[in-house]
Amino acid sequence: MPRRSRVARGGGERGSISPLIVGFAVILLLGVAMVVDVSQAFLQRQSLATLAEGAALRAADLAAEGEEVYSGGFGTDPLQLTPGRARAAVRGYLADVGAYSEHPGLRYSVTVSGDRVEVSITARVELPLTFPGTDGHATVTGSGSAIADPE
Amino acid sequence: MSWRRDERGTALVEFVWLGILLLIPLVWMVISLFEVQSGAFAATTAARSAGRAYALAPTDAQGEVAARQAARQALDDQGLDGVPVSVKISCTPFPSQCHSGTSVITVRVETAVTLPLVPDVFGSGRPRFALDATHTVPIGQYQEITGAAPQ
Repeated sequence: MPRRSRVARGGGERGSISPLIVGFAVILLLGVAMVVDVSQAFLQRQSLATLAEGAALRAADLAAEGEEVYSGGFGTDPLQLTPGRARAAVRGYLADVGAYSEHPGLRYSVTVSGDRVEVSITARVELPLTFPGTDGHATVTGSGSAIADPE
Repeated sequence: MSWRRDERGTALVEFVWLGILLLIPLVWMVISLFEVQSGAFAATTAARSAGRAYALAPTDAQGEVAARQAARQALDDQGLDGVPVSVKISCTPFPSQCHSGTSVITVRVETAVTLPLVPDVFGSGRPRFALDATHTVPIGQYQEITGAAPQ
């Protein structure tokens, strides 16, 4: 009886270190993959936010036709914006800077509320390391807003 | 009893070998990854700062100087002292007059991080990971012209 129990204990301890180390390595690799993916998504979001800020600046600039300046002179208020021109400016800007080739599947929305232009840009990001069970893509959105302010 | 005595010390051997073969490369990979990542974030910030510095400068020549200083400062702030940095500025639609109204400035910052713990074995310099980032800024159509009209 004591002999059997000793054998069983010996068998249970065999090879206990290798799976542990391999398990640690797998966990570490998964962590690395996650960090790589998250940072790629973050950098893409930053890039989309930059794009949205540029588009909003361009829209606020080109949509400010300044008619009130001719009739009333410069005030301290932001210039009035023409929504149609703001949308056209965003469309033109995104095409000019090559945003569509850089970010496939890019969609944008332009909101003109009063004297403020808000641009929000959404695109799909291809994640560099694909986890099993996911399609390897994420959707990221960046947004920016601008006014035309005569200082 | 005899085989059980044979297993004494195998855990240490397994640990050492698996550790050398698996964990050390893995840890090196993680360190390199973080290094490259901080470089990528720094490059993005540098491009952003350089673009803004260039756009805010009064002339193209001053803008170039300011953009280079801003990029270098941004990289220093992220702890990347002494890395190579090149700042390239291009403008549409006026390539030689970037500060004209409705111009769009694109700043491209190229840098490289040195991978850690790899010595200069083959005499061709330590291995580097090249990084780049771009930032696009539009210039407003309304420009202040000082001294244009008598007050």
